Amino acid sequence: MRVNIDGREIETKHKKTILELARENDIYIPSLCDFKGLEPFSGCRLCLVKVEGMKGYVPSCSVFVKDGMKVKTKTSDIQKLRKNILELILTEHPNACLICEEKENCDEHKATIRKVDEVTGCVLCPNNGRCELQNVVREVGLEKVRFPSFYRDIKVKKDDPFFDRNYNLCILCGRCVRVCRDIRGLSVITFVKRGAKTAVGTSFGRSLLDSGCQFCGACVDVCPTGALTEKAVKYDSPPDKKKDTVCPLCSMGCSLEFNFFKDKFLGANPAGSSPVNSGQACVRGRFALRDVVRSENRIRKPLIRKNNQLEEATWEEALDYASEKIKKYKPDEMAVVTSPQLSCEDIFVFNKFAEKVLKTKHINKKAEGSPLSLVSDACRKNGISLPMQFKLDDISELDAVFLMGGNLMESAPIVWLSVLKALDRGADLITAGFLESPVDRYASKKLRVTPGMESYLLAFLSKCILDDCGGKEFAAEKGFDEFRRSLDGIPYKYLEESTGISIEAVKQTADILRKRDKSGLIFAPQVIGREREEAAAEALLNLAFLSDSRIFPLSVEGNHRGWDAINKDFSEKTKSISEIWNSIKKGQYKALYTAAPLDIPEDDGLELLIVQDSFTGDDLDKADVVLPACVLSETDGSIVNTEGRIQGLRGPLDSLGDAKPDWEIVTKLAGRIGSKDFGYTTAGDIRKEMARKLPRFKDISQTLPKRGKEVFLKEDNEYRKKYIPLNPLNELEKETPQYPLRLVLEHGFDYYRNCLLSEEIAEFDLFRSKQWIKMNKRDTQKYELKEGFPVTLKSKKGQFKGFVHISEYVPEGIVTAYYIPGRDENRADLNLSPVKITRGK
Amino acid sequence: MPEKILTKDFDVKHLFKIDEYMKKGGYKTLTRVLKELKPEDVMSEVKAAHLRGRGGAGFPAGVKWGFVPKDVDKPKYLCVNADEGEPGTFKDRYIMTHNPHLLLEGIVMTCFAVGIHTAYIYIRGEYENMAVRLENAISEAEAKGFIGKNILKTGFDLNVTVHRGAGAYICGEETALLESLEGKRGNPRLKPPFPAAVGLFQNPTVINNVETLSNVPCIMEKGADWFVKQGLSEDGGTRLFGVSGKVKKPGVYELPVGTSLKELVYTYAGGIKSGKKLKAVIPGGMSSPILKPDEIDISMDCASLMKADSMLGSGAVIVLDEDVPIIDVLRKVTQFYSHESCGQCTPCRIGNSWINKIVKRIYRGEGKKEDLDKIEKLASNILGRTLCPLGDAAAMPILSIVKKFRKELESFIKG
Repeated sequence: MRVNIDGREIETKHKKTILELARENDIYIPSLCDFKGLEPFSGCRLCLVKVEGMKGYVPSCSVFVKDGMKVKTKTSDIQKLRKNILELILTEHPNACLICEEKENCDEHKATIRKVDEVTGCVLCPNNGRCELQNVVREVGLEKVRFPSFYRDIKVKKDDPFFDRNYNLCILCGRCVRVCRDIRGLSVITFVKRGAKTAVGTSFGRSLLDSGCQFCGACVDVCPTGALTEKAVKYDSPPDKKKDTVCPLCSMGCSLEFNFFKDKFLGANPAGSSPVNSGQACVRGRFALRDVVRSENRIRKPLIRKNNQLEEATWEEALDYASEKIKKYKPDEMAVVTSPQLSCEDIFVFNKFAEKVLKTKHINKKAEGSPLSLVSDACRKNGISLPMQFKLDDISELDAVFLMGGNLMESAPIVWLSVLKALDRGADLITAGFLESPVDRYASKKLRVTPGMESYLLAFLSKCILDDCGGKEFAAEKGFDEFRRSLDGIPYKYLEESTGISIEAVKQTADILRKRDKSGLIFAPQVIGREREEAAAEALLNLAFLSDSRIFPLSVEGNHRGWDAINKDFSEKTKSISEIWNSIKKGQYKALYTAAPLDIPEDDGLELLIVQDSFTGDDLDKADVVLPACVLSETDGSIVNTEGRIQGLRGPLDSLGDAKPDWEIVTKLAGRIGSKDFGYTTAGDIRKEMARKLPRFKDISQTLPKRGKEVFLKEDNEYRKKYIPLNPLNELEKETPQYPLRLVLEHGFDYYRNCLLSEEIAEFDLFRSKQWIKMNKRDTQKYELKEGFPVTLKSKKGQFKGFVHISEYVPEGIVTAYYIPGRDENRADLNLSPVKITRGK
Repeated sequence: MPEKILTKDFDVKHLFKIDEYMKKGGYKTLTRVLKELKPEDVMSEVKAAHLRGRGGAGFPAGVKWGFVPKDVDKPKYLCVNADEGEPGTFKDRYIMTHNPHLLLEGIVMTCFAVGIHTAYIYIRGEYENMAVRLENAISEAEAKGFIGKNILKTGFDLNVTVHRGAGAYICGEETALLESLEGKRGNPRLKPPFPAAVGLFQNPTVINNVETLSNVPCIMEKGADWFVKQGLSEDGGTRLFGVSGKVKKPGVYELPVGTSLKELVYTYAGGIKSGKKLKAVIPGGMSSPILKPDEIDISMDCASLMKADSMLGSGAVIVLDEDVPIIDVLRKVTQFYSHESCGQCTPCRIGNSWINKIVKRIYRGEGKKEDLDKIEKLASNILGRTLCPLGDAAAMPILSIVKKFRKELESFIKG
């Protein structure tokens, strides 16, 4: 296509708007409502241009270029028109400074004046210097506003966490409304009222907390003015430096930009051009990470227990102390606990340390409630091989999505955005889980399964498919006969009763999965107990084979996939953190070296506890040596995201206090104990060795991949199917009048090592608290409880405390509580058991 | 009186009941159409009848139907625009009150012609009585087998639903109507894509006005040629002109398209009340530019009014006599549009609000010399620069009033 803009002939291939083409070619057209990635809105009308052959003026943000099009963007008519429109916008926006003759000189002297918080001009505005309206006024050259300014005097909304909303500064460009609706699929905010009173707001003017906001910050990032500002940095200067990194707080590994002003760390923004998160993030990366990495609870110096008290020490002392003690124990008396929140280099060194130095097999390699670990274990155990890595685009191209497990908006918000894209293209969503969830409003089918009976639901689906198609086409496949017999043995009636789902609903779902070309099974994290989880993973594999669906097992923590890959390459023997914990409880170990948050049981019989963490936690109470580790943002390690993408962290922050990267600590310790295999001086040295020794890391190199260059874990390309016969489940203990409610643990995602986001950040606690015991409103009425009441949950096996939180997503008869594997191991036993709830602390 | 088409039986008592309607020959044509004709026949007949849309824009109905893609496996929809919000307009209400079955018969024929199986009647919330009457009429028609599954055993299915609006003028704009019908805020959509291709729930959709559809049974009964002959200009048929204001006999008049406005005001509506002089006529609902007495010797059809820089719009004729201060008119107009703007486009949202503020200022006697120029500037900044026609609908009458009554307006401004 050839397009003529202002006399310049421009060649272009792809379909794009006039505005996009102009921008690519450095032709300035002002616009305030247009934003890359959002549907055109054409509301501000600043981008009007003249197109030969088209009536009147056309908005360049929504008119697509055509071959031979002739566009004029700078005629005097258009210039005048823009000034007129901009003038109108400014009558609604505090404008004194925008058109002030002294504005150039003013900034210098009034740099801190904005702290008064009543914005009547730019110098008082938190967005000063990063405001798009300022730029447009400058470019259009507006010098005068002929109308009196009309200050709307709307009360600034400050009651919600993380960001303030000052709608006196809003120019109604609708970007926030569109990003919330179109990209995030939430529609928490929308336009309210009409005419001159039009505003952006929530339904019935309630707070964001009460309107289902997930605090992803997307609205703040697209706001062109100071209407939406992040509380934490609103009084800071605009950043003078940005550094690329990757968010370590969940398995997505979003590309972030860390912002600095005069080397002070201000906070993080999602990076626009990333293939992972393309400009989006979630509450963890956007708002929480900033407080996490610079938490006051960071451990800054090594500590040694002396006279029953932890005292500061030098690295020399601490390492000497630890190594001398370690030398005393036999391999089987020692255990190591690593975390999927460490970098690949750290995990590699830890595994090598356990194998070569301690010579112990007691190291955790399986994650509780992690779909990725479960499915990969099930595959390995049964000799199955299928692709388990994917790209997010694979999800957005699906035409049927079966989502099993918890609330994707919370566990994997960026994966959810890809699901939304698929739904936008007409895909069907089926959700299966024991809780309701906000994603259900997009579901064409909701399968509310009895907690713990997930594997039966999946078998139910398989049985429906087989009975519908006869199953002849699968007859020759491995393990099929035995699998079929195991299904034939269970009558539909029993399946209906045990799962609580009608056969019609299951048949319809089976039909969708089988008949759609591209169906996908997303397996999201949820905790239903070891055996049940394993059974569910196996049943899911069967269903995937029968319905010819692709399987997407998600990972949980920041480097979960990397952790899994390295662990499995070291040895086939696997132990989960709860198994290690149970052994500790039984007094099997004398020494424990942990780099993961761990609940240390009473009477553990441990003689030596080495805690390596970035944050102080409960495990410090019993620690003999504490080794301060860097957070990932301070290292140049690599992590592997849920897709299988290897990404470099490139340490945007300097390490705090005496903290060192985990690999360096382990390396030094190994050296002290006398090993010569740990000669690493940089993370790159470890990567070099990994590429050589670990087949799945063949493609990494000493230097980290640049952003934009895609490096994935190597995957076995072979496709080997095998059906696995259905494992009968143990009956769950029934509710009794004494224990009338069923407790279900929800996988916690909001933590980083020993730092719990809801404990670290008061605002986070309002939004998603670890202390919450969620229950249905009717149950709270039944047991005479109210929001926020302190309560104790008691089962025959134990008890724990929390605070009542009323949730519309929890069905009657169920209570849920937070669970982080390792850290909350003491409540793991209570999962799925009947409990009673009593008031009081 | 010329022959009436739509309203010929409106004086029959209880015509809104299906028995009375059928006694007058109702649903006979439908039976013939469904049993004997093919969808294409209906469409070509309506095309040949030059049936222009009666809602405001005057787009030929048959052509509009033809834009709907034929071989798609998506569902198609008909949306009946009964959100009669244009100030001065009350003709659709007249049809829905007296003869809802005529509309329903038109709906079934239209759906048959286009291959639609779901129709929505989007009716403004204030028309509660009419909505109830329509709902009753639908149940009656369903009981007789004119609507529902397997209509008249021909295998044609049609489901008709009445949906009440919530009182926003903008929802009469077809794309905003679709948004509202989908349960969203009634903001207009960007065009293209046009509703015929991407409409309700992203599917092909026909949107027609109540009066437009009510003409379809007559066209199918008596033929396109006959229908065309009923009009005095090249557009076919009659129109319901709702005459209001300072005339002796305000009301709805069904007259051939192309009847002279002068005749309408002086002959049919009985001339100006109490022997006063005529000051001005708004010929097609409040958004049409105002006409002065020397301009009303004009044929009431789309083309002629367009030539006179006005428009036929919804055919709502508002007559003003010499006693009406023009500033009152301007105030009402600007207040209405500044309140009803959806708020999306800057010029319409803020522009109309400023015009209204300035007009109010003049009204209070605090006007300034430059105010009229300012109004003109603001209004011409809206005209043609907004997403949907609401901006134009606001700017056109304001500009014409300021232009044609400038002297009078200046007299309200002291100094």
